[in-house]
Amino acid sequence: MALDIKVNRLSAPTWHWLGMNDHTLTGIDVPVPARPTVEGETAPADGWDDSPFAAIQTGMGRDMDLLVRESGAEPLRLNVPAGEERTVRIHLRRRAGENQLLPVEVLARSGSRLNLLMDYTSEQDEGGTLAVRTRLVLEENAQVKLVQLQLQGDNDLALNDVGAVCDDGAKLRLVQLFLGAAETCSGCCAALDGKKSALEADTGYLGRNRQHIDFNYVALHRGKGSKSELRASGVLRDAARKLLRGTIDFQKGAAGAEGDEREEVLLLNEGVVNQTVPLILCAEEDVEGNHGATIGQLDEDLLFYLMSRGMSAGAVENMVARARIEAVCQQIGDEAAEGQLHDYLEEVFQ
Amino acid sequence: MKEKTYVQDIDRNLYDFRNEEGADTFRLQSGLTRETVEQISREKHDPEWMHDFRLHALEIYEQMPVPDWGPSIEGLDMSNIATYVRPNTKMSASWEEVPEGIKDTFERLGIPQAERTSLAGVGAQYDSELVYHNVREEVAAQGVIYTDLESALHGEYAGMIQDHFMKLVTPRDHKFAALHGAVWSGGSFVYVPKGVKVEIPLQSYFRLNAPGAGQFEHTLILVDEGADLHFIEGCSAPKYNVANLHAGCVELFVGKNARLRYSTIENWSKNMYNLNTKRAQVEEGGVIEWVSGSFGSHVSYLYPMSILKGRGSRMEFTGITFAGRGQNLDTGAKVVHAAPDTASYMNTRSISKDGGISTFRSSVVMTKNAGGSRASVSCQSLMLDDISRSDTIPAMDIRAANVDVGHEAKIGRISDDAVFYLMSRGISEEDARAMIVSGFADNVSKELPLEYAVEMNNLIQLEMKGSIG
Repeated sequence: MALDIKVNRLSAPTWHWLGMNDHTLTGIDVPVPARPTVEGETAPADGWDDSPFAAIQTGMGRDMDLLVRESGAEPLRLNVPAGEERTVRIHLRRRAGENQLLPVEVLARSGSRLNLLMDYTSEQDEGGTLAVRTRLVLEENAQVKLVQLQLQGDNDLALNDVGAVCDDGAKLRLVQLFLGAAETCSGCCAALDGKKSALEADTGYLGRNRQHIDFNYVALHRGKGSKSELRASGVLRDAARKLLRGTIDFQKGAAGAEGDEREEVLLLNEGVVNQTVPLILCAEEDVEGNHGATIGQLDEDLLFYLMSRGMSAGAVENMVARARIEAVCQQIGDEAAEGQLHDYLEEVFQ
Repeated sequence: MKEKTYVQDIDRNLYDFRNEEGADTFRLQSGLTRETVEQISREKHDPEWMHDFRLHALEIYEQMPVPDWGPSIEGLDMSNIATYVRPNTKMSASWEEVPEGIKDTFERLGIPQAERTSLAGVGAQYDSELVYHNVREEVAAQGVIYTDLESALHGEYAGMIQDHFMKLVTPRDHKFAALHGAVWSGGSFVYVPKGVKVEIPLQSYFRLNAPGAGQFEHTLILVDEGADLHFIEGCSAPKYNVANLHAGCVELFVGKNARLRYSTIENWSKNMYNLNTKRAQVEEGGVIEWVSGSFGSHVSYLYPMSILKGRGSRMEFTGITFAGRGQNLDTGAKVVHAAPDTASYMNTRSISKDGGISTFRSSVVMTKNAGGSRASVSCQSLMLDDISRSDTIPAMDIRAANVDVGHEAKIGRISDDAVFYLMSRGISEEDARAMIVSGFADNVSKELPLEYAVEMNNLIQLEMKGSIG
């Protein structure tokens, strides 16, 4: 069975002719449950309460529920006991000829800390879908660092969906890198419900060949003094196209909240398409919201300087592009993951 | 805990006076049908092509959906809107010949005075018709044409009108552009010949007096190669308890190396649905400058669009929107960079107060042909209380590599420190806040001629009066 789904809906729609209000995926083959390799242990999920997860809004939206339901996949549940610190690695490799889906649910109890590293790869073939939906509940003062590395094959469809709800003082740190796949859809929505809850997100991407990348990031500020920082840094070359939707939504009651969104895009070729729609929605007086975007080519002075030192224009472009991606890699803080990325980038930039 | 006090806004009676419709005023039955459109066409003595154009636009109107992405316009029922209301007078080039009631309206708005002191020409529209149109002799002597659009449609410029009318904004643009195409009435035609620089501005003023009516004027301006013009548009209406509609259309053609500044101070009454469409096309080396102040209306959809068609053409948009109680103002700008080495700059301020909703919406599109172009967008929003709302929805679509695009947006409140500082200098809290807001709006007021900057600042004072937060 094939499904048509609409994902990454813009929080407040704009002109239809821009084609930015959502992203439609047609003819998605229903995936089968994925079989991840999991390293690291969490507490048993006995007596797991589904209801807080069911209410979580994710970045890609409700249509992902349909995909998860149809796949019949059971969630991988990670339960981090109060006050404890855990590290978990999830390796997901899509097998040739398969479309796979993995739902993940994380319950970070009061004062706990979790480092969750997820990497997605695939066996080279004619392509298929690898979908991951991660929903997180962060109780009071819990801290979760979620690192997601998408290193799939060049013909893949990658769907990566995140939704979180943060209680008082809880913080979600998100580091994502999207380097592979023919088409990537990624969304993240963090409901900052608690007082002084926070979201800090770094997203890096490299769009090349005819890759298509579609993002939707939402920080819902509901708690007093909540804070969000959304940073996206990417490189587009060849005939790649990318659409980034970013929303900072200050809802009534979020007095003292702060939201900041930054984007840097380096355009290396004619033929790339870069679309950006950064929203600030505000129903609260006592807030501070900022957005800044810089979209453009390689700095001419830098290019001239490096070429005067004997580098070719192509080598300079590769070096700068790689530096952009590696700046995000440095946020990962895990040697194994960084090594994996390093190898991948070596291959890409050869 | 901080306490807040809200006091009623003062009367806006500067704009809110009514002139009762006379018995001999002609008012078309409310609603929109083929017969309505045929009747307007007969009243206007349309040439055949315009008659057919209207009916075609009506067909498009009937097929197109209501926009689903902006503020609600559920309160606008076209069956309750009279699309044509003609005052009992003909257009004149002398204020003396304008009927007393209408003349008094424009006197109170200061239009004749402005004409005498600071304008090169004035057009005054009352409901659906121009009642006054005049241009200074020395400006006319330069070959500048400033006349009502309907006269132009029948005179020696008929071909020029047919070549340009609704070619930039076509009826397929959106539902209310189609409506405009079907029922348009009134408006001005300006032609500035090659190399002519009009030293002082021309102005059109639109007054909608009739309750439950629509105003659909069409402004068509052609600024030829190397010419220069500043055109000012003003509008107001008394407040009624029924919905009024403004669906005007502005089409601006800026020639090679020409410059056009188009300034608007919009102060419609707060029962108005302002669904206006403005667009400019700019040739090589040409410049379009928009200065836009949105203060009135119940609901506004207003996004002047610039198409930078010629190499090295430029656009600047400077805007301010002030949304108060009962207002939902969705404003901004659009630009398409369709040629190399083009440049655009948008600089806007939005203020929300007393439950008002202000949305800044924009788009910057760079096509594959826009190599070497630059665009910069800066939007700042100020929330004056916690019952209002302010959103920014900017979009960028970049399809050329060697370009530079910058965007920055800020949203926040009046700094308590700044208010405290001013109060420590003996200024009342209300005045301190008004001063800060005036300063916040300074980017627009400094772009306006002095008289209009004063009017804008007065409007801000008027809106701020009575709010202590």
